[in-house]
Amino acid sequence: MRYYEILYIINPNFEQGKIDEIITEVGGKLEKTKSTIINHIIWGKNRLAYPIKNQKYGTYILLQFQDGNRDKMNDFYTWMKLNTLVLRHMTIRLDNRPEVVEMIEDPVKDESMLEMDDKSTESTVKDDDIDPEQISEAPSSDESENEENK
Amino acid sequence: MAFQTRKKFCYFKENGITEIDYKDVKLLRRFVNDQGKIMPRRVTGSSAKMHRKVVRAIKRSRTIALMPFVNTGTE
Repeated sequence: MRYYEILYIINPNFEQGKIDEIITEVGGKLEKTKSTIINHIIWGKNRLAYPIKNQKYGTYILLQFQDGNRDKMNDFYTWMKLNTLVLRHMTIRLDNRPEVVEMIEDPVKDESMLEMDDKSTESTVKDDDIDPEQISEAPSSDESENEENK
Repeated sequence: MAFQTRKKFCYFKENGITEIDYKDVKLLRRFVNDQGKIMPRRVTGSSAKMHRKVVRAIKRSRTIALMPFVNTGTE
């Protein structure tokens, strides 16, 4: 028995009703392969790191399942690829059985923290800029010391 | 001017992390530079085993648009 995880992105402009419709459609297609779904939840709306099909934002949906008939999985992946509602999907094999969760933290929350990190890195860069001046000053002081020694 | 020596340490060993999830962007951001490039092991100080896991996680999160392939800074 193997466990898999699919993370897929759908259009962010869809309403809640439409999202639920897509989730049931994807779930229904997956159940045709005799797989058992463990988790199928909305992760949240997030800004994409790069635009996909001219979309800057996307709604992430997480799907974790236990495999059934592996021969039929190819049909499911082909369907996912041809499905225009799904912007992108990625399948990962999990080492252990995933826990059943009802909610995951919104990825947008991390984004605000990232901005904080960016600011801190900027400040360190400024510190580096000051260093070369100190280096340039340091040799001159050494020379003056040498002159005194002579 | 004397060089300042800074002791390098494995971030994961210090914090007791054994598995890295590609969805944990906050953690992975520590291991890329401003351009979005993966930083070498000699800079981050992480162990070879964990560095391989970091690289795999970053590449996965790039595929699903959680992290950028290139960060041009124009946005």
